Amino acid sequence: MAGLNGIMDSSLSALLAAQLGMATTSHNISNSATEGYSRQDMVLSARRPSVLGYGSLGTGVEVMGIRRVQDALLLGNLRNQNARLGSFDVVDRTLREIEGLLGSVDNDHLGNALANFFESWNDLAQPPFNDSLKMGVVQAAETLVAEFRNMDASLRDLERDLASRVAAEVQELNRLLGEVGELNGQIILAEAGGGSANDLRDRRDLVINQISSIAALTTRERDDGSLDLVIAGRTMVSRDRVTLFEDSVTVQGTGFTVGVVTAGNQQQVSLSPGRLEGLLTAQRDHVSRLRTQLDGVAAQLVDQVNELHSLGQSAGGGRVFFTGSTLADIAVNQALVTDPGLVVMGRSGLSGDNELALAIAALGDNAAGRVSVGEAYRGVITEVAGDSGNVAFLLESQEGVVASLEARMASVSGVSLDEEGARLVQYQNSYNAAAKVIQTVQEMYDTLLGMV
Amino acid sequence: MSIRISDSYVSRLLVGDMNRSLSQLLDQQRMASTLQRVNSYADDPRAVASIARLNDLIDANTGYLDNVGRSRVLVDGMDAALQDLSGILADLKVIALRESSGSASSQTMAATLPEAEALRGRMLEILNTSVEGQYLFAGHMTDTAPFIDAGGTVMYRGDSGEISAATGPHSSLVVNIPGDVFNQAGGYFTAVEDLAAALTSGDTAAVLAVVGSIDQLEAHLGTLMVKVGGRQNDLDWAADTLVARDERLRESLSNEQDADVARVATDLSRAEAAYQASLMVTSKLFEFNLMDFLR
Repeated sequence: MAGLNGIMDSSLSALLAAQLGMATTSHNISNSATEGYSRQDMVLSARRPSVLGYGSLGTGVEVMGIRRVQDALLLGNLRNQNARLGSFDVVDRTLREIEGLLGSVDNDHLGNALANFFESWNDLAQPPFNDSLKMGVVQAAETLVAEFRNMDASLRDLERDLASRVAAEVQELNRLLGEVGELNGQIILAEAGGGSANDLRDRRDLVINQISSIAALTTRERDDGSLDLVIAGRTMVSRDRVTLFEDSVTVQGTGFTVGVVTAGNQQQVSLSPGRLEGLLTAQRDHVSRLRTQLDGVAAQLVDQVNELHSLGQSAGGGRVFFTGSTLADIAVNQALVTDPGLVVMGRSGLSGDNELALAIAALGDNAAGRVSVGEAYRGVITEVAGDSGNVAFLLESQEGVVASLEARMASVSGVSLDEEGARLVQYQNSYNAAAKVIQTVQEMYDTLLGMV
Repeated sequence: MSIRISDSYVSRLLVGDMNRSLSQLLDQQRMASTLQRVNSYADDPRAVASIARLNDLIDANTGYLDNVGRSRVLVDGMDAALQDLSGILADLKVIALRESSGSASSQTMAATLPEAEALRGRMLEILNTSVEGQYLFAGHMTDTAPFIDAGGTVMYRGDSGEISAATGPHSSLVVNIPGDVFNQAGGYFTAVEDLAAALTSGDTAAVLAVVGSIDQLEAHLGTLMVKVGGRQNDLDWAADTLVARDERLRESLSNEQDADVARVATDLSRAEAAYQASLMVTSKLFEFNLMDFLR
């Protein structure tokens, strides 16, 4: 049979539970705008009943714990999608920078310089002839060469910028990995006596989310509450032990490649999607490839113009028009710069022979039987535009996917002030009712003692 | 199961919607300010390739039109020269007919000789016609006077080179007449020199023979004038074709690149309304919560 003390004890447990509930609600309200915070929920359970002759009698309420409301599956999915978003975002930015280097849609610098160069040959080839137009051809060629060199320097700057961004991302990644290791250590200590270090876990999840936008990862939770963190098949964090990344730069010809290795292991890490992988992809698949393609355009221009120009007779015999064969080293033959009169119009060198000038003018868009220089250059632009459109589309889709997952995460783990307000009322009522029971028991005691 | 509505869920959705509305508004504003549908590569990658191609074709077409205009100057110069030459042949024929008639005498022939020599000089001048310092009838040797008077005999020292001008992406037109053609049909200067010799010697029969030579030269000159006239027609046709092509290319470029003004205006208004609505909804949504009603 439950005594008055038993009732008092049961009500006391309700008072404590209501207080704890209020504290949890207060914590939720306080952190309703905290980034990465997962709402907390008090888990209550009826205390073990007293078994009496006439049945079981309840003994109050027990607080089983304060749990974080989380959806691990959703969180894992969000991290994977976040990594893809990071990759697309970086590639998209790089392609926009490349577009800026090339110029606007209908006014690209290199394309205009190429068109002006061939136009200058057309002017020269057009009777009645004017020798002073040879100066125009040389000037247009020098402008074109300057645009090629300018593009070379701009691409080199972009490559350097990408390399420094890789280094910065690696540094940030290492800092965050260190933070995860530190939080692992704190969680192991905090949870050693049982319970859950909810806020530390929230903080760790937030840091891991930040890492996921740099590099895709997987996690494995240990019994002690720590989380092993694996990137590209390498365990980077195990309990509080952390392995760091290093960036590696390899010079290759006129450009260079950037990679990532782990400390003590110089084998390149094959990164999964993320900003870091995006930077490496942007450097390799877009900037380097663009350089190679434009080198090809420059080489084609040099070969085709020289092939024709060297057939012509001028003082001292046939001469090449250009020297060099890449963006970096293409130049106008210095002899022609010094004396534009050496520019040839025809094989014979006669003043009215315009055969070669006509043929060179046609190279811009009408190289019989082969891809013209103009077509080759437009092919490069088309490819960059295609990549831009493709990546912009993927980025927009991915932003939608991540936004949707974040919204779902916010739906599961976010704080609702209305919900917390309702709980506030619920716990307050529960507290008031339990206090009323205690007051009643007190009166019963008084009645009992009054009888003595 | 309905979705749980937390404050951060609502906030994320609304901020996302607001950003999307703002982004669409900016796109529409950019389109309205440039009146171009394609402002960056990502707007329409397929169109970027077409726009680049069409711009190049329009530039090249403009170059061909310039070529046609400049070629026309040359061909018109040759036409004028041939017309003058035709007049000289006619004058020579009048002299030859007059001095081979019964009324001719050695005195009249001697008096006519300076007239014939003056016509020879004019012929030399005409066949050495130049435009912008370039001799029209010199073949490829355009910087040298093609006909010279070498001790009473006119010599051609040009070559038979033909000069072409590009009048389209796959077409060119020969725009000159090499001066060696004037040695054909007995030779233009030969006829004048024969007439002068006949007048000097007072040989009526020889003067009459020159009339036959001039008839042949007039026939020859007629074919040359037809050829030049044909080239003028070809250039006119090429110009018409290029102008029409330019219009077609610009129309294609406009279709690829330009924005539909009416549609831009409508879409811009719609985007502005959507953005205003998202701002208003966002400002209202957090106006109340349960806390306002708890006493």
